[in-house]
Amino acid sequence: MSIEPTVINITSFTEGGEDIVIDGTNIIKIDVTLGGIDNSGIMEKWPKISGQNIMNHEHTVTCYVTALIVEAGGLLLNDPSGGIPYIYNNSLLASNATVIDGDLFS
Amino acid sequence: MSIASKISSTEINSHLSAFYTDKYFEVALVNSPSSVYEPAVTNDATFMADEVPAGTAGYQRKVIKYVAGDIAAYADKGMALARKSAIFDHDGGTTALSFSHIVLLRGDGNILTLNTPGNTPSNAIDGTYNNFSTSTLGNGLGATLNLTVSGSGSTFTVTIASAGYNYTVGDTLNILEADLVAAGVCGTGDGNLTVTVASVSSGGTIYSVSKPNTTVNLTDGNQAVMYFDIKHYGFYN
Repeated sequence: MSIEPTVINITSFTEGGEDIVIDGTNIIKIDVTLGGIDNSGIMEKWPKISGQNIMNHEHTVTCYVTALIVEAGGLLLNDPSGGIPYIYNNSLLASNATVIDGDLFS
Repeated sequence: MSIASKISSTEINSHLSAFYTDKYFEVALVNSPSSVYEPAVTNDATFMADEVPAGTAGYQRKVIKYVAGDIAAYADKGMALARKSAIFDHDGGTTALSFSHIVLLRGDGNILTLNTPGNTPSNAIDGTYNNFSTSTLGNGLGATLNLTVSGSGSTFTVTIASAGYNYTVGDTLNILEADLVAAGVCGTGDGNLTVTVASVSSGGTIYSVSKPNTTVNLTDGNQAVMYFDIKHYGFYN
């Protein structure tokens, strides 16, 4: 017996049913009953979760800013794009720098 | 019931690549101690109207650019961009460089590409010469250029060292003869070099605002340095 294919752009399917999509994707939904056995030995059917399981996508952008003041000549040069040469280990403070304010946010 | 899903590092990497790779940002200083920046409430243009005027005590915006190699590996639940920096030098004059806010903006008018040079100096000596400052009749500031001379002084290749900001397409950039002579490109009387801007970035919106504890008054040739560490977190429980 052949199964007549459903429309290509299927977007939903009947719970407990089986649908076949022409582009090769098989979508099978099986109704699963969750339950536990109580003290009487009778399986208790747990309440069905209503609605859909919604998966949230949380994405946080953080910009940490650090700022300080030094006397003239206390900074090494950064590159034209603001980058810090690797050998400076993420700091532009010269070894002989005189720091006037080491943290503008404190 | 909803849950917060784990975001793949590949997805976070895609976001960083799309929004930061080969993109320009500008660091600006605003002097308005009573202002409070509220995201989605404060009007960007109104807030930036209190930017320190260009030239005050040597002030001009600093430009930051991210490249693909600036994206770090996944660590501590997120992915970070390489630290970038901006240095502001007081010019040593009697006017203080005062600011109450440090603003990071999406770049605008940063030079992306150049046309082939127009005027070129004669008797040029083959070699590579870096970081020429430029002048322009337009409103752009801060662009510096690298120059490679080859073919016994017949071929000039100009590339962007620092993209500057506030440039428009068609602006003419001029490297003065005096600077070319000082760098050893040519001799006195051999002429200057000009090149026009072919394309620029567009943006100008505020990315972030940081407020120092008190208004900063930079004087006596002192220097201020700001470090920017941007990180994207994909939240998971």
